[in-house]
Amino acid sequence: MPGILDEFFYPSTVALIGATDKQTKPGRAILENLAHFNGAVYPVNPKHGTLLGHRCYASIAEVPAEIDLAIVALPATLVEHELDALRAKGVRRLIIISSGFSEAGVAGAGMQGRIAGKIKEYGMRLIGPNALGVYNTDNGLDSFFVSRERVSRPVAGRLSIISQSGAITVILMEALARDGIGLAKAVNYGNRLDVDDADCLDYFADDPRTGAVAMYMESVADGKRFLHAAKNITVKKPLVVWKAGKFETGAAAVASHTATLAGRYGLYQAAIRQSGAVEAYGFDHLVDTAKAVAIMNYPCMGSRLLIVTNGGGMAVAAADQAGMEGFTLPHAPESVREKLGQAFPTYFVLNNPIDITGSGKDEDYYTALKEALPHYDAAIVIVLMGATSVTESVTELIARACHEAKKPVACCILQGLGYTREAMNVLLKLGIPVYPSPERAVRALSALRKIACRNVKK
Amino acid sequence: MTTPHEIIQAALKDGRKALLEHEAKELARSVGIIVPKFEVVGPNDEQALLGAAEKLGYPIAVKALSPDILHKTEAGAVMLDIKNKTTLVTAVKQIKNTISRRSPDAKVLYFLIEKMMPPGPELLIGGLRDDQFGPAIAFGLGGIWTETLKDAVFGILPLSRGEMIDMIDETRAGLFFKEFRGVQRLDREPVLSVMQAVSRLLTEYQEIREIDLNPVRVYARGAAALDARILLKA
Repeated sequence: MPGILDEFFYPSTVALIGATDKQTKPGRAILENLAHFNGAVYPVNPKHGTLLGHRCYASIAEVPAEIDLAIVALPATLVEHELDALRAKGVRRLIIISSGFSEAGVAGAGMQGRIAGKIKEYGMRLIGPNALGVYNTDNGLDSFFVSRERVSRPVAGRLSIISQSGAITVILMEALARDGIGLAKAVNYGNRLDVDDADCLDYFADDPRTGAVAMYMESVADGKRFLHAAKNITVKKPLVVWKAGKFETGAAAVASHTATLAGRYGLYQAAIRQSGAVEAYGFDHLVDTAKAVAIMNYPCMGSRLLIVTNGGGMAVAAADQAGMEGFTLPHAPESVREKLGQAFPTYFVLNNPIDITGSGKDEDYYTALKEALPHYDAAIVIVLMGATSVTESVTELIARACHEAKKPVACCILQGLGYTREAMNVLLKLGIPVYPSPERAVRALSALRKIACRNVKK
Repeated sequence: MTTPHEIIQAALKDGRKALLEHEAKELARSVGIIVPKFEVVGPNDEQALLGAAEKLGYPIAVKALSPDILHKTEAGAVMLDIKNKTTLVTAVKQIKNTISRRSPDAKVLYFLIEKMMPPGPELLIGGLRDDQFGPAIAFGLGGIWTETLKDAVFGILPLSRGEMIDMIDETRAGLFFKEFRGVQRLDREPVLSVMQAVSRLLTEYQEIREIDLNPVRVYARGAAALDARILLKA
């Protein structure tokens, strides 16, 4: 069924049920965020005539337009009744922000069960309840009840997010904003009463704006469907999955070794591996890996890694991590080393790492990469921007060498504060993922290599 | 000859949630898994016991089979590397004593005696049926390393041959099959056959909840399941 989620991400008209001007209520933040949406917004609340400059409607029935998407931000106990009004209005897509359902005990679960029945009966599709909903940089749609003053939104880009947790979604958004990683769309489905992980994967597989997907999950709605959908999307674009809640101990009697070893995590790992996705082992790893797969366009086709640096210690750390990730660090061919020997001062170290030392210049990075990178599968480039012989222009030269060789490069340029922040942003814009530590840069390349290996096998 | 189907049905009829080891090994054998040659005798039939041991040839292993004992080693129900008649008779007595002390309620139905197998690296190859993902198989280090090193990986069925190789490569046990100093010591093929056979058992017999072949001992050519445990759906 194509386009189930299309109307969630691309509605022409949106009604916000429970719109308010009270700062403490979700309906306020959502209404503010909807100011960025380039469609029509209809706030609904019987207590207000106008809200933040919008005309406010007493009920959904009074809204003088067809509504493609209703965002429901009412107290949980009012939601069930509101569904009847939404049905009468002909609304077929809704996001229920409200919490207080199955996550909140027996009474909540009972309400959720009744909502499930109505959704089905009325032929509606639902994201939520207990969800942030959707975010789309393409049209400014933002149903998240967190204000932009408090939580920054990332710039527009190719990465899309699927998250079971609202909290993780919000923190991911801010991490992407911090790291300069562009976002296409984000969805948090909360209690997953209807729209689930597999629906979201299917949608992003076909979404032309999405170039890569980062996913956070604690569980799947349906293991077989998830595996199928994940297999389907990885044929088209990279998928990075962080499965949290790894060590839950099942209540089932543990009678054999096999069951003891399984937990559920072992099976999730199997599903991730078999689908061709890469597994992220935590928050930072998810962000780092997502950055690499969203930004870097060249596959890492093998294990031969080149390291170019102007600082010895950083290269040693990179080499250690490279060893742990299964990379090899062969020397460049003799002909290349001879050429570089002629171009460089005698005190540059032409092994692997190639160390152009603290007096290496911008052009020296380019020369080293231009000659050596074609003989490798990938490169780590470390630039200590504190060295006075390098300038901001080094970023463009590194990117040029990468794009000429069409080999993946990850950069490490210190922590991205002040002066180095600008260099970091330039590199990202030029398609080079950049990291604050050599280990993280190497791990990112390692993820690219895993993806390439799995794609070759397919 | 009892068919696997009949073995499973008989166990379910008895209200058992696990097959006895010789039954599990019959099932394993039915899908081409190699198990040590074994004989099963009554718990108090010394004549049959000695006759069977003679037939198999020493050294042998002896195990008490009881629906009440799932972990035989812990219950003291296993004696290994028995080299002659006298030791065998003593071993059986000792097993009976230990069981009556540690698990007084356990009813021993049979003694299983089987040929001792040569040493070799030990693997775990298993399978289970998951509510979410359906039937899945497991592969990893076996024997005493299973729990200490936690090396096992899972694969959700159906699995291609390539995906089974991926599973092996994910584990430390997979190193057994890599070239080492220019020599490949162990053949991966028999292990893949066991993985395929376990997949077949899970697919063909919906009553099976879990399979645990541990250890599967690997030799230069071939692999044998020294112990087999099959749990049934309640």
